Amino acid sequence: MQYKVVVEASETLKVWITQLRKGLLEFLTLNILDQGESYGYEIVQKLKAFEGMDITESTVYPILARLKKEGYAQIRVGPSQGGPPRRYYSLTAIGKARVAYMNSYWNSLNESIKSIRQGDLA
Amino acid sequence: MSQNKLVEDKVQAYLAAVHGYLGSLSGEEAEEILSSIRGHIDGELERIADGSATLAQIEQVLASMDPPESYAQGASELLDIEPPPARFAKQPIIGAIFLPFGVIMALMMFIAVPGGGGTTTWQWIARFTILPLGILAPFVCTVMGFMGISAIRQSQGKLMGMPLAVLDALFYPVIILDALLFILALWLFEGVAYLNIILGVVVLLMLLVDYFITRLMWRAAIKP
Repeated sequence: MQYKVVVEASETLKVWITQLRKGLLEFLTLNILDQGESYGYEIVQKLKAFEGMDITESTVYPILARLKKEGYAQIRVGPSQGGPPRRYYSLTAIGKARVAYMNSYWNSLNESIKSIRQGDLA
Repeated sequence: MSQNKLVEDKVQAYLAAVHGYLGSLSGEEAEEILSSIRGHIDGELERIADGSATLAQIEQVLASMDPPESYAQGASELLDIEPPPARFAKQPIIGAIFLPFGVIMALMMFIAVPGGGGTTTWQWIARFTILPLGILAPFVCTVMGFMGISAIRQSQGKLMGMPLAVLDALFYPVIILDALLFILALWLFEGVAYLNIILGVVVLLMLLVDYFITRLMWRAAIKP
């Protein structure tokens, strides 16, 4: 599903968007890694598909470094097709547990937001 | 220099520039980011180059990537990382080093040398050291002050030292203005009664003008 930004954000909206991206970027990165081992460039290309998130390599690589530092991701250096060796990221056991928890929380949050937006406030 | 070396130099220069913007990240995190960027560059080159990459190809790749300064914003916005501490701009420091020499030279011109005729050793030393520095001081100090103000304003918080830069920029122009006003007052009020009182009032007015000039300059310097 792609989300298209249709209005130009004011300065205060930009702050809100930044805060939202802050929380979502790790979530999205973990979900991509949860689908299988991936290298940095590939992860960037997948995340770039999300319009409105404004994700480029300067936002992704710091996140990957932080995930590795905190023990949620691990790296394997493996061969590429005819080029220099690639660094493949994958989730550790605690990384998998983290993304499972985040997905569960996201699903319940999503339901709550849906209800609020539809006016089901009872 | 071989093509490969030129390409490698470009890559290393880009990585070094990114490194400068990674703030207070740990060495491990910074190295991890740089390794990822290196992998990204290698991946892009692998995609577009047939065999060894050319200089044009690496420049194309680097141009398509985020500029190094975006890593400062990206890292601090998303990871709650503090930007690197501001460092002191060098231009105000250079100006401040030159500042006293003009004052010393002026004082030396007005202080009587005790003793008999002939030039002492220290006078010879002073002529060839303090005198040229004293002549240069107003120009160097003022120019460095204005350059410092410009550099600090453009640095987006990476450089500090605005008070010293403003002092350097204004010190000699204000002193020269005061001197000219004082000489003008002496000429205008020559022979007038109560000259000392009048000159005292003129000095107070000069100080007031100096204050407003300094305030205007400071506000202009710090204005976003």
